Amino acid sequence: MTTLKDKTQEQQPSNKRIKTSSETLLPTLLQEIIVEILSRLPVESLLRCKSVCKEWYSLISDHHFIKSHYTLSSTNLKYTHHKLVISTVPRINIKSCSLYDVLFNDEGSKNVGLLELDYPLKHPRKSVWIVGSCNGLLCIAIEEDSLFIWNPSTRRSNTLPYCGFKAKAGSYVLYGFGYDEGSEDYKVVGISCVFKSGGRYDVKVKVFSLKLGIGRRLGVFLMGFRWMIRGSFVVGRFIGRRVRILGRCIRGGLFRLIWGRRVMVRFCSRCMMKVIRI
Amino acid sequence: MSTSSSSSKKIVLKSADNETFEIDEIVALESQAIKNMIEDECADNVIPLGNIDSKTLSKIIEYCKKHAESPKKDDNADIDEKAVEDLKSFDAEFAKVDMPLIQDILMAANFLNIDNLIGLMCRTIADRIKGKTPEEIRKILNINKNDLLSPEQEAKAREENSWAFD
Repeated sequence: MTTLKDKTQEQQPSNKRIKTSSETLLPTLLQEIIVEILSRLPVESLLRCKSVCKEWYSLISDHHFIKSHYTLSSTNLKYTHHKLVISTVPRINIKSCSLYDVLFNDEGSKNVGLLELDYPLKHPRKSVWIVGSCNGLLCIAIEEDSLFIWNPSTRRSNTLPYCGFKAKAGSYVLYGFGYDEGSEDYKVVGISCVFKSGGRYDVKVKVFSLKLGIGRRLGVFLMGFRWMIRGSFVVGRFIGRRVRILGRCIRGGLFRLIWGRRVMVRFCSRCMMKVIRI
Repeated sequence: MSTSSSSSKKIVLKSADNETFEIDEIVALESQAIKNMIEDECADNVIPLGNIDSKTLSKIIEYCKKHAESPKKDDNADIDEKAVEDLKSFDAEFAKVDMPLIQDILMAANFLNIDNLIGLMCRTIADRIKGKTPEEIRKILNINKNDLLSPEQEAKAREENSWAFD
């Protein structure tokens, strides 16, 4: 916080706020108090508050403030700042509503205001897929090949590099989205599986980094793994150089993937356990 | 429950305009700052509060009295819900004052270190500026006009978040 204070002082050296004798001037609130007040506002109000004055602008733009605001909102047990985000049929719309209304509003179903969100790259004929959410960010795939990370609260987004995974007949694409605490980076793991003749599968795995803005190919498994049914990732965690993804397949079993120097893919018994090492 | 028996220890607070307020020690202990002073035995009979006027101080004492009388959350796991509701409606009524007084109370509560009161006042201000335009907020809080963004910065901030201004 010291850097922040220095910055604010630099910006306004000549007009240090002092309580004057003028009765019309309200007592000047301390910066720590202003932070307390702003922490209680929803993001939409905060963005407007940026224009109030220079001090507020730098406070609200500050990295520490953003982090503590998120922590306060996400640990709010009444879920007043939580949003439920869903994609609706046909899968080109993303809508959101207040989680509080869904859970606690007595007339719930009637009064839940579903708000349509204008997401980036929206196309009237291209399907949208919510890959996952993490720390208030959404990972969204358009037509299974264009990926971006989107903050629905600030409406800012970052497009990830083209993954090259085309969804076509005889193949499928899967993604998992998570936060890598080690490198303080958001990452997306993509798996493409193309069925080949002779019961073989061509499986490619790539990891995309939001920070570096690049995709890195983790490996190509020519022999593939027998992955007969489509599943979805529910949790993606990155531990050091390892990637760990927990998912749930359609049959209800859990599967686990771990990548390290030695690549390992594990599936649950319901999906035919398979371990691959390189 | 009445704590004001003749045997309970009294504390005297003196405001900036030299008005004195005699209160039960248990009420004064709502303030972490006064509690520390009493524990460190550096509080005389009269505690001078040179930066808090009598109007603000009497409001703060009203708040501390009510909260000192109410059962504390951690005292008893199953405190009766009526007491919680009662305290809630007291807080809501207490906060129905004009903005200058709210800011005075907030500054004083910060000085006296009364966490609940700081929280209540911050929530009140946040509720009053929620959904307001920057101009309205500046007026509500009387923000120093010397600290405004330059027209370029203002335009940039609005452009970045144009949807929030709709």
